[in-house]
Amino acid sequence: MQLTVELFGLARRLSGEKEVMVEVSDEATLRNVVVALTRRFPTFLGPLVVPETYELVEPYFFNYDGRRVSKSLEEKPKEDDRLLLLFTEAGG
Amino acid sequence: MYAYTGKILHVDLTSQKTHQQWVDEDFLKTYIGGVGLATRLVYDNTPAGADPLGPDNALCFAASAFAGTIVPVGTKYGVAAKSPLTGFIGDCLSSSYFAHMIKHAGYDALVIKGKADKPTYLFIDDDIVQFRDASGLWGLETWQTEEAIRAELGDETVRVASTGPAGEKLVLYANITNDRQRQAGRTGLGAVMGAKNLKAVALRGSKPIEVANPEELSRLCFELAQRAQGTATEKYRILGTPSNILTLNRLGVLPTRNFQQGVFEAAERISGEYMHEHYTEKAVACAGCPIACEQNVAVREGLYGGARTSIDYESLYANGPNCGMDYFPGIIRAIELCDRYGIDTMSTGVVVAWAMECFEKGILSEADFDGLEPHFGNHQAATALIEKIAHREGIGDLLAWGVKRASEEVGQGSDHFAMHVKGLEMSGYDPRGLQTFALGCAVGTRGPCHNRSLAYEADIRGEVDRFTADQGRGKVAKEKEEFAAVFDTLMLCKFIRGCFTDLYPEVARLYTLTTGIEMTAEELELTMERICNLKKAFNIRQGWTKADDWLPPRFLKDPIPAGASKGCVVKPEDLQMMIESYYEARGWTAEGFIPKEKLVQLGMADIAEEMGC
Repeated sequence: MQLTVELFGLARRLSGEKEVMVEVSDEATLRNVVVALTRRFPTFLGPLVVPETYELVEPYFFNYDGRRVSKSLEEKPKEDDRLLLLFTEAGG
Repeated sequence: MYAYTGKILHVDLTSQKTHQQWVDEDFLKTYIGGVGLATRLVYDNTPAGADPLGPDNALCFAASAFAGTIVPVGTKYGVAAKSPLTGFIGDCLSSSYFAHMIKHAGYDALVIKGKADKPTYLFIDDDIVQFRDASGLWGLETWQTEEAIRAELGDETVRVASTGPAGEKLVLYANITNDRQRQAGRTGLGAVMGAKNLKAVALRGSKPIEVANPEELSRLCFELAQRAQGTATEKYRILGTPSNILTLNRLGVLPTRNFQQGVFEAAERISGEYMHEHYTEKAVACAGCPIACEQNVAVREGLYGGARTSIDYESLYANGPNCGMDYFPGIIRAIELCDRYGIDTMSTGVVVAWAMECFEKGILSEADFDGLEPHFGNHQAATALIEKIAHREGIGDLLAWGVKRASEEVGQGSDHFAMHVKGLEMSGYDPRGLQTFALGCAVGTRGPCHNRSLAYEADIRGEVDRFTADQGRGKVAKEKEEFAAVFDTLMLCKFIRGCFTDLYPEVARLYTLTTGIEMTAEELELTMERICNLKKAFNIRQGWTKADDWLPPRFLKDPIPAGASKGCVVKPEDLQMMIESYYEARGWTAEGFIPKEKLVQLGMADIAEEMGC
């Protein structure tokens, strides 16, 4: 299935893209989406993704279309889901 | 005593006399430093009912326990007084060299009362305190003031905190500026300085700052500094907090046109990414900081060519989308003017946005604006309004009171969109789409604040459902306030918060190694609860009632019209329920007052005696 991933902050800077389409299997989890992203953008490994586990580095996380935050990378997205890879923190 | 000096300098500007107060380790451990210590000193030195712009209001600066040591991002100070904007606690903080110079001069804190009979600046030169004539400095901008004082004293190492022309004119949201680009903003403490005829505090110190366990502290700090240069802070180092623009816009909670919308159609053109590509010159660090988040920007040509300042998200939101402004050079110029004149960028942006909405709704006319046409997006009108506010000229005299009082004066329903709580203008997160933060804004002791309530994190990170309210939010809001208080009291920059694995024990350990005073994680947690209650106690003594914990009508009646938070509003019954849950989580009465036994339990028996119910 195809999923759209919108990129914010460091992910956008490293990829040079605002959003990308990723192709994953129908049974794919969000971790598989992370793997697909790192294949396309190997520079994600390290700054954004833990190379050994494909966990997202704190404080990045997935959000579904601005409405719901993923609880785990083992969640299975649905066809045509629009994922946001983002973070937010403020206050110095 | 390590790290601390055990000494507080009291200054009376009226009599031009000073005295020193010695404090012991128990007192310092109880209030630690920064905002915590400054608030306690305000409580002790500002009587109930004091005029915030009168001589009885104590302006208290307190260094952090870590200031001047090797603890990364620990060189900060807190400053507090009764706020002229809200009438409640005005607790602010700032960073950099001024903070550790307080310690080098031999003090943990400064308490300044009275009113000088003419413009004055204090020069604290180790043990010598001079009351120097500032008549020649009156009217100078903040940056000019620093340079002029250094030139007059013939020493480039002197550190200065000053107020600008806006503080002199008693603009109620004037701030205090130190080290050129650092501001203790919010709540108008620059106006407190202006009211005292106090142009600046200059510091020169030569005393060493010793820590209790330098070997172990060095090891921990080295690890922390390494983490602070890693992935957890990369977003701050590269783009700074303006990177929040696109995220919040996508979530539909980017305040736009005075909170009429949560999505700004031109967000890309005012984003951190766009700023980085077109206007950023360099990133600058505060003293003792391995992160360097401050994004120095400049306009190289055109209408605002030569404008330069530093920009963070809150300044950008307030003067950008919230004013409908998509012309980045105009935003840079607006923020530069605020910084030069010494006014809070956030309050200014919200005030200008309110004025723009008044104009667009026909409540205020072109004649009221002296010929300006402040439509949303009109950057020339916005920058002209900032000039007028800073000098209290024309409509600026009204706007200098802040949106609460300005809307009371103008009437005609303009209070519906006067975006403040307790008189303090909103920060840059629309609480309609962040329900826990809505609670945090309503109950905040200094007003609605992303720095005092980190409840927006719970909403955005999905720790709770950001679109709904429930009775668990009181506990969340309480915990997020106390989490923030750790950073504001110890003090540490909040940008390092992602570098701790377990905050309370790790920070308690840093404190013990620095000061030699044993502190456990549990004691530190209790201290943060104490600080939050202390601020509330101050407010109660100044006349707080439950009605002060509420939100502006727009959030309760006007749904967000579009975007990912479309339809969101804060239902009054939900807000009421969350406020009750917050009071309960805090152990307060249903009316929001602090029981006597609670204050005693928190180690504030003297305050309990005075005001506990």
